[in-house]
Amino acid sequence: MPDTVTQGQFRKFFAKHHFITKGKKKNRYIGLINGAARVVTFHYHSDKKTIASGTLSAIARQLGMTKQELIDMIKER
Amino acid sequence: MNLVYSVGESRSKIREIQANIKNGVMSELVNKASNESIYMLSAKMLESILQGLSIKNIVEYDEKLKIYTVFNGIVPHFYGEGSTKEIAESNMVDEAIMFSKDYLENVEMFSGIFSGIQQFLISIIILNIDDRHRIMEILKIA
Repeated sequence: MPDTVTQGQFRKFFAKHHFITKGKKKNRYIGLINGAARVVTFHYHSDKKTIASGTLSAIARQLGMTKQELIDMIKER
Repeated sequence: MNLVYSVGESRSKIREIQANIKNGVMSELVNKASNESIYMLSAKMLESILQGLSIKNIVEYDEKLKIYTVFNGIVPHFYGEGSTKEIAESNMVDEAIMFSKDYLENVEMFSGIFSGIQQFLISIIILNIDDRHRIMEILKIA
């Protein structure tokens, strides 16, 4: 079964890395990952909602990593 | 030595730069204090660079959620979701417009984070911000 990540898990991951919101709709997040500044677009709806696989790929690229690396970081593996 | 131009001389200098650019010669403006250069180029050059840029969009389908995601390979911040590929592409265009507006509003904070090629693509979107059809062409959406 493929790894899935919920928006709640992702929100906690952002909080852990001290990302702050920017932009009119507050859906741009800015912070540091592995020593590099990153801007990420993330549309939060609810903690229980699962993030689509392709969307996770897009977010991982924004963070300069692969989808699997991002999943491992979120799940602290 | 600092060069100080009068208003008339400045206009003349700008006309000279514009003429050079029109004739296909790129102009360089150097900030002597910071030693940084700014280059000015013609619409023809800009269009050629854009044509030469390999703009690809990645499409992924989540079988469990039945959601398509389309995102741009150069600026992955341009992404959209939808129940069909076409809806996801349309949402990606909306996102590209919204993101580029946010980029412009926070340009001093955002610019250092993005690579030159990303800045170039975002700038092209900003230059065409009111022309959705043109943005679709730029992002290679049929």
